[in-house]
Amino acid sequence: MPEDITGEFVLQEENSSISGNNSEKSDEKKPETQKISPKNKYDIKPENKKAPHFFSSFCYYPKGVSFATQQEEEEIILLIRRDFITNVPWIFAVFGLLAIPFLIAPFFDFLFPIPLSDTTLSYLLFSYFLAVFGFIILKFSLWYFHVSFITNIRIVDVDVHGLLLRETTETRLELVEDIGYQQNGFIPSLFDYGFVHIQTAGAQQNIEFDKAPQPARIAEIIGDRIGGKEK
Amino acid sequence: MLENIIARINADTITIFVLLIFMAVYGLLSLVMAFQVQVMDRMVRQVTFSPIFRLLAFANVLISAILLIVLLFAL
Repeated sequence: MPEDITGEFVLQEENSSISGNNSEKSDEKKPETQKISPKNKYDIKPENKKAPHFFSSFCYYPKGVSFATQQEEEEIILLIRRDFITNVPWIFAVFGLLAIPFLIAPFFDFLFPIPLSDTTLSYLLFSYFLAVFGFIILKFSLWYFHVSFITNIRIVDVDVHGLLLRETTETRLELVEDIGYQQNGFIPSLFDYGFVHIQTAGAQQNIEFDKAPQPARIAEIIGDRIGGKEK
Repeated sequence: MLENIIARINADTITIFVLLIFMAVYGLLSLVMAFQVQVMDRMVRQVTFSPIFRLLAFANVLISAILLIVLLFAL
């Protein structure tokens, strides 16, 4: 009797047949590549890739950026550096250093009673400004190369602690177990940067993004890719 | 001979000599820094800014070397 038939039918895409609700086959099919969820308000489509500036500390799908161990099929989803505001102390220090010669010029004879020729003074001044220039390059390179990448395969964290001291940590996305973030203090809350902690499975080393901009957004982006929603 | 050298020593000479030592150390440091920038740039490449940054690092080395030579001749 036709009146006795009950249940729902789901129409699937081509190459699939009409199946009932109790069919388990439909649940097994998942796309192999990761896609951006349209539900995520932060996502932009990969077609809208943009090249990061030299001062970019957060760039989604960066254009023209690569790293040494990047695989062919690997795509960078997110580029993270420490928030640019963390550079302000040394930028102020540079302005202070540049101002020092002009500030001490009126008192130079009093501070340095030994007379020096103009040529020697110019050498002195030029060397000083060159050293300040070197200081700028050093501080900037420590910020610029202290970078983290979230790709469609893994998370790579390059920590540069000094001119000759750098550390690289990486983990595959499927090994990430938990993500947390922390914003301590007035300045980090005001400028929205903080500490992102990524806990990995087993003996794998945990990854930490120090002073990362928009930590909530980073946690959300990684969370989207490890929670099974995107896989 | 020694008397001539002593006679020539004045505040300018001492300052230039101290600057020469400083620039020798600084030049070495800037060279190490430029190579480190080169190495790290190979690790993390950002097409738009990497060449400028490398250029700045090597300009620092070049200026240090020029100043070192100038100071040597000024001594």
